[in-house]
Amino acid sequence: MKLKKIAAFGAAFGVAIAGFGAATAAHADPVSDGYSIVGSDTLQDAVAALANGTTITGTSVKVSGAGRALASWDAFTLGVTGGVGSIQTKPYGPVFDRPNGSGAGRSALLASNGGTAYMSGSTGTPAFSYGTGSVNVSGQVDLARSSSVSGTAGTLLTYVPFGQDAIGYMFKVGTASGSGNAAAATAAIQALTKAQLTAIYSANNSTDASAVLSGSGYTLTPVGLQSSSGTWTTFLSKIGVSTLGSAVDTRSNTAPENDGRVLTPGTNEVQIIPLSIANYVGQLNGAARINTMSGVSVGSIDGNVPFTGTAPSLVPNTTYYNSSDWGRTVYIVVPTAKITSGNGLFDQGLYNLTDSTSTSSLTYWGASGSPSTTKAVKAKFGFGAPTGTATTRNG
Amino acid sequence: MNSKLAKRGLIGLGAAVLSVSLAVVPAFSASAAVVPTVGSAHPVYLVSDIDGSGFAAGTVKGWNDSVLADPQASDPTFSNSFAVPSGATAVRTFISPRGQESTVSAWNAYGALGLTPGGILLPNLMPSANTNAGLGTPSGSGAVANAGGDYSLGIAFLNSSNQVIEADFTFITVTANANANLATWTFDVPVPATPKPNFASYSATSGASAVVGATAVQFAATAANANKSVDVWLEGASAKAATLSLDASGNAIYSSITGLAVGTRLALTDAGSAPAVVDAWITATAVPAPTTAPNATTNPSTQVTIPTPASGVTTVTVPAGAANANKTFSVYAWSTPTSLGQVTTDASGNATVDVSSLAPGVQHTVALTDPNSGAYVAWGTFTLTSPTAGSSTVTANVTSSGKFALEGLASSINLTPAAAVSRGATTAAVPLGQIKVTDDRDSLLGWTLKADASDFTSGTNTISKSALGISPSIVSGVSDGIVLGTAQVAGAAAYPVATLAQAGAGYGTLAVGTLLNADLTFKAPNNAVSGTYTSTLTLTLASK
Repeated sequence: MKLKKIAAFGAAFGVAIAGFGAATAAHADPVSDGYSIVGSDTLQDAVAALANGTTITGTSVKVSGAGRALASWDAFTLGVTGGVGSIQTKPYGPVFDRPNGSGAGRSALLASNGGTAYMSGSTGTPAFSYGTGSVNVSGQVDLARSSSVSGTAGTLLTYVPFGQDAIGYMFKVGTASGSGNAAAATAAIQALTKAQLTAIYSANNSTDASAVLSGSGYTLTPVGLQSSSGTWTTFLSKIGVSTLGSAVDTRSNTAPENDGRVLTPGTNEVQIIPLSIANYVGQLNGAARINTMSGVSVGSIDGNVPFTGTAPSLVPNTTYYNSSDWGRTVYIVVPTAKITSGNGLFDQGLYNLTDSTSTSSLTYWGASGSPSTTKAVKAKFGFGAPTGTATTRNG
Repeated sequence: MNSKLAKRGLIGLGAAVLSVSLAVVPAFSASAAVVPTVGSAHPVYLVSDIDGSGFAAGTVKGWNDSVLADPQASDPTFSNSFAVPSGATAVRTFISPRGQESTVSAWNAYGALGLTPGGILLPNLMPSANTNAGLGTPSGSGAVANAGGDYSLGIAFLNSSNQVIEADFTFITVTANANANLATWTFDVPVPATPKPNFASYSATSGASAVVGATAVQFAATAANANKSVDVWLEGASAKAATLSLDASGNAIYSSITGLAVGTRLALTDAGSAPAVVDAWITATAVPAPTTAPNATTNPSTQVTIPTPASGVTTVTVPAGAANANKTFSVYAWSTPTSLGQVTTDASGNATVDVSSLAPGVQHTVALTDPNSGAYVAWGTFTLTSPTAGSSTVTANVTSSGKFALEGLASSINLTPAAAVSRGATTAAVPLGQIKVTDDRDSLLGWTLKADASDFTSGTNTISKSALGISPSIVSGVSDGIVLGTAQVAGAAAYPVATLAQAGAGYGTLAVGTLLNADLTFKAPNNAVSGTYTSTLTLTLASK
């Protein structure tokens, strides 16, 4: 009798540990018995830490929704440039395209809930299809990470502020050769103006794009992010570029965000690419699971540095973060019905996970100074207090 | 079967311990919704993650509420952590049946925590965050909320064999709700260990003492407590009275402690210890009086020379030295030890001691002692010179009137007509001489004969008028309605004498009057200086 009981216990514990490990190792292809969140790369490290449990603040912080764990799927397979592939989020669930950014995350969230038209009640035909092969993803995605608010008016989705991020650019200077002057090129590229960034990403030839490096013997190659990236669309919006210049290296719209390894300048070449400052700070501070920023620097814009201090204690520059030019609020997106008390679809766990008044929600940014709050963890990941407010949209 | 029985036995034991705890802390159990936690390795308080303040007993929390566990009652700086015990390889939050905290297989639910080597800081005990279902009954956090009842909630450290090596928890009581999100719970708040020693355990420590002096208390806590810092607790006090730094001998001197009197029981405890670690139990005692007189052999260093007092002088001057200027000392005199009270030295360190109670003609030893320790400060010897004889006369002034008159009072009376009186002796009675009171007034208002005397003087020497005794009498004449006053005894007489004799309203003496007399006596004080002393006795006849 006794032996049997111990055996049964061990088995149960083994299952539980596997379930717990699920969220920490994306490559293990786990599934979640609890809630799932997908979307933006910008928030993925911070959200993954909160979902998986982190002691970055000195205390254990792990979110859950009314007794159910949260599992977070990265926008990209960790450590694999361009690694997208497909994921499975729930037990017995379908395998579908990994949502690889803010837009894709929102699309997957909408599809998981039957699509915009179905959710609005104007049609009885749910549209659960998502991604390659139009996979039915009903119920597979509960939340989405988003680094921007989409433009479609409506109330189907609620964007709850997660924190404040800022857009910036990072650069890498290639090896000097012949007449190339690396020091001059670095001095020129590390402090740009908004107008110069606009000119660079509007340039239709290398000469125009390289104007800021004049005299250094270097050429400048602006690089673009993958097309689903909220960081990319926000960056273009902020520098006022609607038509991308032909000098921009788009990398076939697949370059992952916040990955310093995508910058591969040749001899006498400088490459720049937009990024999330919070993500950079999180990597340099050691909060993120991986640091891809070796040899990569972040520039200042219009004379404002995006952060101060030295790693691992970089601190966001509030002036930069809160500026209308470069600051941006990033969000957790949730179907409005599921956090509306009294609605038939109300889900206490999703409500708790997005309740900004709760110190243990994803979206807390209140007054507490305790290291046990999600706010403290988000600060370690380079986020500041959000300036945006909860907003509803249909997409 | 056997093991099952053994387990039941253990449960029974646990219940017995619970009832004892209730009895020990009745005030707490009266206000708490949950019985005091038993078995937690460390006290577990629940604190707010907003400001670190402690949640009070009776606070009702929701199933999804964040509550931080803390080994202290509050944590405004968010810095108190639970130390990681040796051998721990994992730490979890858990909900378990009470008494089953260390049995992983009995847990209802558990959650993950990070094993931070510096200690587990502020683990969040939100019940619903125990997202893993355990094998206990009911299984799962939600099922516990549905079922309600009594549980333990806390953190547990596990070793590599998945066995609990330490559990820190609080008892909780869950109010069931079919919707787990609406379930509520209350919790135990640990009673902080009290630093107050329990005088029920009083047992006088051999060799330890607390001597209550006039201005200080001398503690001796024995060499076993050398160089310790100890708190002083008086029996019945709710707070410590003082903190002492004991010297290498375990002794300390402390200024007066309010409420500490001879006979007070007190405890010395390790400073700041909670619960109290008692180092010594002591009953306070008084400064011991000296028994044998100091002499040149036993106390040579404090011997001083006391100037011989002049004949008849009843004070001596003890020169204690400038180092003892303006200090108060206890005074003792021998041959038989006699306390002479306390004396304060002047700016030169000289103490003037009243020795009038000591007999003349023999040598005395007088000593000044430290009022706190009883140690000799200065001592010396002296002899009072005895006075030998004395005589006195009394002079009286007389008042008189026509119909209402007092007549015949002698102008001078010698109280020692035969021989001078010795010091300490009382003279034979000497008559005042006949005096005549006449009250032949028509109104018959009645009268009072009063007496007063001045102190006896001889040059600059004085003897109190109380030395004069007077005892009135009626000699002849009309005595109707006349009442004599109480006799005054020599040496204890009180002047003025309000009524030496009187007559009430309605009585008169006729024209013939009434003859009165009085016996006068005189008692020479022990300390009287020889000489002829004079006083004035005044009789006054007053109408009522």
